Amino acid sequence: MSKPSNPVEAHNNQIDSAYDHNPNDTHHAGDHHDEGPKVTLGFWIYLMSDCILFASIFATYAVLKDNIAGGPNGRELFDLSYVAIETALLLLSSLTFGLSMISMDAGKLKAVIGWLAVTGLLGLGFMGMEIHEFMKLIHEGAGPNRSAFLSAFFTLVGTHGIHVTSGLIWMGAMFGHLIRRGLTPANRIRMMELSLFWHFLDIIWIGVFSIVYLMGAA
Amino acid sequence: MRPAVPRPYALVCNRFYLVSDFDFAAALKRRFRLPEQSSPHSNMLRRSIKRGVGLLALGAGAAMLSGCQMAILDPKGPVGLAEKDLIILAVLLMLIPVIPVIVMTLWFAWRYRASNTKATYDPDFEHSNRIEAVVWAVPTLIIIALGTVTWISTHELDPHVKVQAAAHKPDAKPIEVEVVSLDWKWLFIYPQYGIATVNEMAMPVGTPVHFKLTSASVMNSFFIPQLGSQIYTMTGMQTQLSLRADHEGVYDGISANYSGEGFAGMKFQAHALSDTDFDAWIAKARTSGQALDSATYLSLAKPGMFNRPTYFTSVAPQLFHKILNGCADGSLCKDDSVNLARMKTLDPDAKFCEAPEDAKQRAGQTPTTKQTQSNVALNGAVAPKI
Amino acid sequence: MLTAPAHNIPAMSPDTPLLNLLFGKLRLDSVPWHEPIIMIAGAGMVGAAILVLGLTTYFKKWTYVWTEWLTSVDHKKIGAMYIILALIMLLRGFADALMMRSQQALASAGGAGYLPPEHFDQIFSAHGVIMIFFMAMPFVIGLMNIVMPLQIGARDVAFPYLNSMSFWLTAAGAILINASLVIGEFSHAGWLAYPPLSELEFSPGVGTDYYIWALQISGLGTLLSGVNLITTIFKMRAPGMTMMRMPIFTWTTLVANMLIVAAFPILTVTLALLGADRYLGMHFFTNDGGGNPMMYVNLIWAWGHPEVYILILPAFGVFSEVVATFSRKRLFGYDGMVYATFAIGILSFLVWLHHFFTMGAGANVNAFFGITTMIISIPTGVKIFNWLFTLYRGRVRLELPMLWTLGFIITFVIGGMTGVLMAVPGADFVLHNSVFLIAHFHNVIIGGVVFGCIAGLNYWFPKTFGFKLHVGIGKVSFWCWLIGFYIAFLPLYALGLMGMTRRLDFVNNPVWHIYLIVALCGALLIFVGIIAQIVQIVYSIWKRDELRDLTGDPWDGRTLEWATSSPPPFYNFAVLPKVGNHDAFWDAKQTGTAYVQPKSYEPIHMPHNTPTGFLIGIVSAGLGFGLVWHIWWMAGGALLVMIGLGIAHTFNENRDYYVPAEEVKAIEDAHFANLKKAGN
Repeated sequence: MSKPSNPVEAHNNQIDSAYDHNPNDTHHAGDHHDEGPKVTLGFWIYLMSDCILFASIFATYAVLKDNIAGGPNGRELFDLSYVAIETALLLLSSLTFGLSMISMDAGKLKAVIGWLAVTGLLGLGFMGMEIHEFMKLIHEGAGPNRSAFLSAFFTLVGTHGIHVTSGLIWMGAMFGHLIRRGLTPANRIRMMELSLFWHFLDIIWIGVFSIVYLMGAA
Repeated sequence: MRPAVPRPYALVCNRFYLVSDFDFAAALKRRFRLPEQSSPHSNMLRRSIKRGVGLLALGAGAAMLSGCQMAILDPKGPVGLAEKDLIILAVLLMLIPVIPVIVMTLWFAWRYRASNTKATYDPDFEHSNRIEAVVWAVPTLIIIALGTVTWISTHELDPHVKVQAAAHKPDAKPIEVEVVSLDWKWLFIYPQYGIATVNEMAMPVGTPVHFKLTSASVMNSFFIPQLGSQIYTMTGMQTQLSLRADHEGVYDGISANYSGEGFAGMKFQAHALSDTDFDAWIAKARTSGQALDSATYLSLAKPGMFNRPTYFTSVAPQLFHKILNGCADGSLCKDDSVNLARMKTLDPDAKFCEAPEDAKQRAGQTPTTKQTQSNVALNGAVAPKI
Repeated sequence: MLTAPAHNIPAMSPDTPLLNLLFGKLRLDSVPWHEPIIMIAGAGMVGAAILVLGLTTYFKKWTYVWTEWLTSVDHKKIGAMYIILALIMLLRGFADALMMRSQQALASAGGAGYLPPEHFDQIFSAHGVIMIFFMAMPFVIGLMNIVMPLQIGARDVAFPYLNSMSFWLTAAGAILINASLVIGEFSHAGWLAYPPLSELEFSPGVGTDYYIWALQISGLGTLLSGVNLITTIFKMRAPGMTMMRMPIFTWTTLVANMLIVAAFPILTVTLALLGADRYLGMHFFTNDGGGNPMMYVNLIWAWGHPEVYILILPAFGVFSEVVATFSRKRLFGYDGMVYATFAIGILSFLVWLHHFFTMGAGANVNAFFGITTMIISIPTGVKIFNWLFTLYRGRVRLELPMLWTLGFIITFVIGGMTGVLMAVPGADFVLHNSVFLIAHFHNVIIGGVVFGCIAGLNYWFPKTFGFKLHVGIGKVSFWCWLIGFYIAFLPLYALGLMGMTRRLDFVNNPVWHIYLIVALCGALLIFVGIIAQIVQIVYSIWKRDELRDLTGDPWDGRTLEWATSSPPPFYNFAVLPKVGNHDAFWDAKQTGTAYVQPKSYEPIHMPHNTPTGFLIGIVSAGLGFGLVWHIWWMAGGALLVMIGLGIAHTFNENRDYYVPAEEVKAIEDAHFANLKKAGN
């Protein structure tokens, strides 16, 4: 195998024979099946397509945000300080995930699980706040069926929420993997992809926060 | 339910049409607004082009094209005429590469067949700068030519462009017609005459007709094939179109966009009449005795198929505007709620129930609405007028 | 004035809370028992399924079917299953086509035909959906699956288990579509389900819901397949195969899958928003509440136009391979082909508005989209010229794939011409939505995609199954298709110029009658072609020993897929080939290194079969069915099972294994013995 020229590849090559479950069989070292780079590339491609999914919903929101059909608009509905706390929770969870990854590189399994648990709790907190906000709006008569603006709002924020929920379910499975087998190469790949996914959701949320909440409340 | 034998619609076919009749030179002149001139030279050119076109038409299956039924190729007004010219011009331009490609395909496959060992065999011939330059250049040049034609014609034929009156009656005042597509029938309102009709319309020959269109249910497309351009009718949005008929006759009108169960029967007739006949037609509608008030409109708007032409003496005030704004049934008009929304943006303390006029006064200005602009940008069609 | 109820709502059965909880909206009378046509078609479908299951049981083949097919992660078998699905759905979709053509022919001379409008509307909607999503898509994805890994010298795709799941999700969508024939109804809003017609207000039945969920589920499969195949191309090429040495079919596969990954999320969003309107009372595309139906039209075509190129680019790839092989010559202008493919891919995202010039957008907008559309014809034209100059100075063998290719070039340039014509907004204003448009896109989809798929089928069938398809019957099929196509669609071009619009369940113009009769005859001739296609396959299976390909290289091929045996061993290549140029196998044959058996073999790393993909796919059909009929326990349960299966799969640590070198040697020895027998 040639020497990798950039750090990302170098990192990937550490986890080259991830699915090689026969570590004693050194005979096959450097065989064709280097899963790490493949999985990472595949996951990036998936993330890009997810990006287009969100872009389509953002575009829809941009078109419909003024179609309030006589109902309430963003300025009447959004509570920026509430959303700021939500945002802080999610950003903080990205930080703790980063700490979890640093612990993984240092090989500290307990710290990995611990920081991941903190990340999960912050994510749960975020989801709790989001669901509470939704319930409140629906209770006030500003549900998704009130106007096109609110349909787009609930769909955009809700789609992000569904993604966060999927991330939390994945995290649940991740605990299982880490507790069962520790920091194996396969689990390192899984942690890498999960962290990519989690940071991606953070970036999307920054878009939601600025375009929906900040611009909507301005 | 539908009748076992659908009511036959008269097929209008005043003139026997042959592709070889196509006057290429005149079409080019019309397209590029060249001055008419009839030098012997241009006549010769015209004849030879005509002959060439005729041969092409033969080759392309003239038998099929020689019928009189080709509504699109037998236009009765300036818009349709320009579009027919455009179609033929574009096809001729494209035949320049298409015919050689077809010939070359057959020729190469025959010439270089495996059994023909006399033909040159060059298994590594995979690149030639000269050929590659030609194969990129030929389509590019054709597309540059066609693109130019497209740019000019698209602006000329833009449905927003108002058609002028015919040369022989330059002072003719355009007829305004408001068109509403219903499930599954066409409603025509003539605001200048205060009448309305269903599934039949009329226009004086040589006079421009300006249509404003919308839909009261799903999307349809308003189309009189022999007069040219169709245009969508969409709920809550207004499109426009301008046509003119230059020959008297009865032309088929259809919906060209599928709209559900009764779509196939969603036909109307467009009568192109002399000025006196048109006045008589208006008079006939005026004396029909039936008024299109709100209640009649609401019952008309219920889904129904195969409506016979119907005339209405008078029309409820602002009916088109109300249909456009979704308030023909007495509910809150969209433009009011849009107003309300705008006022709220300007003044967050405005109350939900405030009348738009009051809010407008308090705001003290008539701003442009963002909604209208965004709808125009996305949809082309104009959103409800405020 | 005759009035009809707006929409056919079946007579309501008793609604009790328990029934609603258990069956949602589903009742016994959701099945249209009183409709003989549907009942016969349904009985045929159920009968065929029972026959297949019965025969499998009778011949005790269940173990074989389960281990070799249902749970297989082998890209060749998954590809073959895609194509089998495509052929089955071709029959279903074509039955719809015949019904439409015969209805219009019958209902144009004063009669009313035999199909009431609400049936006819479902039939043309189903025809479009089936032909695009469940015939053309599985066919091209099947070809890409079978051929691309072989062409790049890989042993499988990047994510074999994901590949299996992709296929079974597509199959689940097909199951839902077919279920809609018998249980309930299908959408009657056309193949793109434009709102507001597809909204609850105008389509209260379950038809649109079947449409939404069948496409969402199969669309997910397509998207995952796109991720998979792109990763395969980027990461698994044989040593020495740089990007510019990849076969053109692999290039077109790459670009088509990039389009899938970029475009399918838009479809997912569009259908999800329509679903949100229908299920949650939202107002994205409704007439009221501030909804904007034209946004749906924009969104769906932002997916829809790239979709056209997702279909046609792989077909272009097939033709490129076929032309070079059967002209016994290098492909002319390889670099130009690659650039043209990319140019088409990028431009395909810049033209969507040409599907609705008549919406009333301004002249600048229309002219812009008209001209971008025309620009696509430049790289497309270059491709056609390159094929022509590949024929030039070649040794052209008129084998079946080549016949289809020649038929394609001639047919496609005509379709391309009418397409560019309609890219001129002024011309589109009179041709839009007419049967001229129908003739145009069938001209490019039949002439391009279908001919490409059948050319590919004839070309790679011996590679996949080890024997050729019968030539004589194949020629019958070709000529029936080609002539039938022109007889069926030239009248439609003419009718379009006469002002006949599309989707008419009856035609009130006696002058058009004769044209519609001719078009029906053309459709029947195509049907003969399809039957001949089926007969060709069945007959070839019967006579497979006479048609056997022992060498693995029946056409004197040029690319790597011909370097291994037919059918290839499950690991494709015992030793990964080294590549020095495109046409790698041709070069190896020229230099005499093509058939040298290596002295020894290494163990080969391969994935195990897994039932997870199959199970997730089947359960997803349950998810869709539950959602369609509002059977929430079923939908929720299915979703939980799917998530559970997916997670459980990640805990499966026995996913791969090594094929011992001895086993590889035994298989390869047999192949080389065959080669010797064939005289190589």
